[in-house]
Amino acid sequence: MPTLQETTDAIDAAFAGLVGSIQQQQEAYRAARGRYFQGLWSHAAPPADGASAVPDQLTAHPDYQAESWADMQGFPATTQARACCDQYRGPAGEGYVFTMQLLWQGTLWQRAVNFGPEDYRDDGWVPSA
Amino acid sequence: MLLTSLAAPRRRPFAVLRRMLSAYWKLGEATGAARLDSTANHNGLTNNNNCAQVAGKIGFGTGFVAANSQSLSVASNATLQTLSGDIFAAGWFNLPTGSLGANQNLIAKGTSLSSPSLLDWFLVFAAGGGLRFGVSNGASFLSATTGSPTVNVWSFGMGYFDAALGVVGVSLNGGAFVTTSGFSGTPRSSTAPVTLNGALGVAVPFATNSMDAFAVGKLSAGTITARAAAIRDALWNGGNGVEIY
Repeated sequence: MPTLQETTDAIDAAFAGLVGSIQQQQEAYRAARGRYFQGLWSHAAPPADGASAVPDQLTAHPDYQAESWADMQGFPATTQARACCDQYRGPAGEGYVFTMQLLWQGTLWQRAVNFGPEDYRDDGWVPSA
Repeated sequence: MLLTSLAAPRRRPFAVLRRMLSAYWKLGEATGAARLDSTANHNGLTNNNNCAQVAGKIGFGTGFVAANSQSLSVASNATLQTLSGDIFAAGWFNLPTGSLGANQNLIAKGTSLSSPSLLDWFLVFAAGGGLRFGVSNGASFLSATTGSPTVNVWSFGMGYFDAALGVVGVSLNGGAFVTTSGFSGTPRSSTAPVTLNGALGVAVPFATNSMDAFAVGKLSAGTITARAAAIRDALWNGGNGVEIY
């Protein structure tokens, strides 16, 4: 069984490999829709203890948006964390936050990566309170 | 007299109250747009996930859908931090049927609704009912709770913290403040964002509801208790509400 550090390192590496595609698709989406894409949680429950799980919510979408993860390219077939992408529009401009969650021995851990002007949204892997 | 003083002079209505405010959000902007701060503190709210413009208590308000993870937020700064002073938060909200069974954040500064190490202050509906306002010293909360609101109507809530007396108070629909005393230590004053509905942290639930005309204010330590009723009455305005800008 991998350690928590090994698991989050593997997730971070996988995410790093997808960042370019995420940014490219988000900019294309914004050009077409006037705002960034919102993706709901990819899995109903966070994957646990380093195990990979098939995303079972890829067709779910917010009620104001027709598109879901299934309309975006490159979402992995299995992942060790679930993911969502929140979009925002604030006084400083627009952006989005890619958030990943996993369960480790019953505790929820989360990492948030901001793309946009609100840098304070960036957060490393932190446990739930 | 205090109410009169908050609204006077007539040429500058609410001038005294405005000077107490860290932020005042009318919340009636278009769907998807940021929510402007009417004060000079530049605490405009970011619209997270396309919060909607809905019919409000006065004109338009903001509607939130839990399944869409919708919230409004603003990064922390000194005007929103408790520091060593008193603080209050107040506004209008409309909760749908079946919404009173879980903790719901109306407005909070922090990234959790359950951990005093991650939350500075909050105005929430507690699971099981009751409007609750509280503050944290980093290790524990002190809070006060009123009765439950009526669903599907606009309700008004206000909470305050008196740092000198160590007292929190909360009022629902212009009623008398329910207070709790005994705060000890130093109020937590973090760099966590202020969020309306949900929060940006881990495992904070989003809610489906509507909000309108929210205010956050700060006063010198030990002065809010004498002014809280006047602030409440000015914003409650006999149940009619008022936009003070």
